Amino acid sequence: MTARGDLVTFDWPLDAVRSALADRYSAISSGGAGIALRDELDKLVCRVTVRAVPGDSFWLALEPLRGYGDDAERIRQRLLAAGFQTEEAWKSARVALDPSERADVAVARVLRRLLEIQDANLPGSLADADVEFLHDYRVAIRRARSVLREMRGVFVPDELEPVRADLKWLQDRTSATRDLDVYLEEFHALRARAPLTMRASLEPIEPLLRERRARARAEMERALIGDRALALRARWGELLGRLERSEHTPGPDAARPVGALAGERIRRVHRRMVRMGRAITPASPPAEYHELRKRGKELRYLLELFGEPLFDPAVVRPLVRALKGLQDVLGLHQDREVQIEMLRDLGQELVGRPGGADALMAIGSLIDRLEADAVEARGRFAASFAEFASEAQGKLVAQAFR
Amino acid sequence: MATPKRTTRVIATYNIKGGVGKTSAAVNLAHLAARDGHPTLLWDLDPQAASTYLFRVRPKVKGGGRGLLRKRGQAAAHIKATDHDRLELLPADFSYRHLDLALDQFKRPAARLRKVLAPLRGDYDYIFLDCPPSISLVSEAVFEAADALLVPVIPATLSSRAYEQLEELARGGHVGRHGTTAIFAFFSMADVTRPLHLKVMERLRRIDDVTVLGAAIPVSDEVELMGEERNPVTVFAPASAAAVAYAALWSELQRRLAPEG
Ligand SMILES: Nc1ncnc2c1ncn2[C@@H]1O[C@H](COP(=O)(O)OP(=O)(O)OP(=O)(O)O)[C@@H](O)[C@H]1O
Ligand SMILES: [Mg+2]
Repeated sequence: MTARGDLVTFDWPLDAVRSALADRYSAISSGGAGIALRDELDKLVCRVTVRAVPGDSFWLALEPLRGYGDDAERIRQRLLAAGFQTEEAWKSARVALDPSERADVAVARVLRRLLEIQDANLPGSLADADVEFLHDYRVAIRRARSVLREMRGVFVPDELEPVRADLKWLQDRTSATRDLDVYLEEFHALRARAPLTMRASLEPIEPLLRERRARARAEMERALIGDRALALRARWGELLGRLERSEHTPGPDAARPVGALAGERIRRVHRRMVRMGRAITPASPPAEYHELRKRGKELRYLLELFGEPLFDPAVVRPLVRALKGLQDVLGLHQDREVQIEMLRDLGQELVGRPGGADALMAIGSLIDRLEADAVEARGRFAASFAEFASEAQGKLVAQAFR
Repeated sequence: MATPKRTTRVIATYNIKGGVGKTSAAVNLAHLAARDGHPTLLWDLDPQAASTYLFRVRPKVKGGGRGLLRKRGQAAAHIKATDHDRLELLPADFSYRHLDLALDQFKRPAARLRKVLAPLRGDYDYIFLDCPPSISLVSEAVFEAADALLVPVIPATLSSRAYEQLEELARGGHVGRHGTTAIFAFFSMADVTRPLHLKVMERLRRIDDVTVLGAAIPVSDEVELMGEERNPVTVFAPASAAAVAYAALWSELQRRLAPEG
């Protein structure tokens, strides 16, 4: 499968998958980039999708069927042994860290991994094969920006600031497309939940979203393969290389043990979130919830990238769980706000279109429902925040992350 | 827009007699339900494991029937995805042949299957129980767990007697927890070229206390072929008379099981 000129070439890996698994599973093409794996009873046990092709190796996404986890694990091991990469190779940004090693060395390793993930997802993002590529591409950049912000003491500002500006620029180029990917998905979900009588009236929205997405995509593609993006990638790779070889100008925290530095950052972001969250009331504007959610993402990345490899899992895991609960509520709240804004915005453009008046009516009543949802999410905020910000949790954080 | 609470329907294909089309109906109707977009579970309660086989799943439940019954929430761990979207299977196990004994260890044996299913209700729109041919503690527990019994009847005199037995049970108020389990019969392996079949069908449709569904499943090579294809007829021969009849049966059953209105 070749997508968009020579940017991406998916050479069909069916034969190689088949021979890696031959003694236990049969592999059959299920169309597109999919392969179905069946056991000796000819039962489907796992679906495999070819996701990306960085260099010569194939990156495969495994989708095990319920109740066939053992088979999936066996399949994963065989495929890895046969030279394939599977999800965790590009999904999981985790690298091994030692609490006593120098912070700059550890940070370099984390950032290198994130850059690999970013690179690996670029071809797929450009080819528009699956919205997940762009999503993963963006998450890798966001995580890298987060590491650069939280671990900024490892660098000197002269070296750090240009990279931060570059990565922000790069991420901003992709935002409109990602938003529209999400809008389209959400629109389908919204339509499915609308009363039957309303669904037809909502029809004019989809073509509008698609038009916008096509425009945003064209602009994004131009930027991602443009001169600035190439130069930026080169600059960033170069700084990272110097960091790895200890040839950079060390910042004040560069030589500190990474465990101490990461623990300090985790404690600080946690404290800050607790303070922010306590100030939030049901009457607070959406922006305050949004700010808290952004901090929450920051903490989540810190915990995933540094907390899990460096600290006691018995503390990290419950904290991640409580944070996830809080983020889910905040996410729901924000999704609804974003959907409402999207619908209002689309409404304006729909006015002049055929069927526009009906669509506007339908949009009005959808917005009413979404607002009720947002209010409900606000109602749930207090409880999930209380769990996250409990005194016991705070004590644990203060003790464990040092 | 909180998602409305699910009303899960538990449907048991049941007949005291063996070989009447219980498994064939359970497998095809479950597939149709899932194809319509409903998350669906089929629990193969028969140690013979016919529907487990038809879905190509190994007839094995770690810990056996006893283990399944004992702990709340155990069942979920044994569920397998079938090859069909939204259709999942709780497989049969050889130990199910002693399910009666296993049930008998509980204070209220007949309530046990309903209890085991309770935590699964949130996950499915339809739960099918494919029952072994018998009348036992297992069938009592099935009657309590099910919202509807679906009884295949071969329209030959001998087997309709089996149905009449069941009808007696129902009339005596013995089926279901409060006698509320709906009972639907349908004709299975019907051969409209045989006068005897036609006559039996006509007579049974006239009995007041028996709800006989309109669609009859014809005798069909395709249904017999399911064993070889190891798939529902609705998958490998969707245009066959049998598949069309199962679809008609399903839409009628669905209508009758729908909440008021
Ligand atoms: N409509 C039909 N036409 C032809 N053959 C059928 C039909 N329905 C079922 N059969 C065949 O009859 C046999 C018994 O069917 P099935 O397994 O569905 O019945 P059952 O009631 O579940 O049996 P058991 O009591 O053994 O569990 C099977 O071989 C099946 O292929
Ligand atoms: Mg059977």
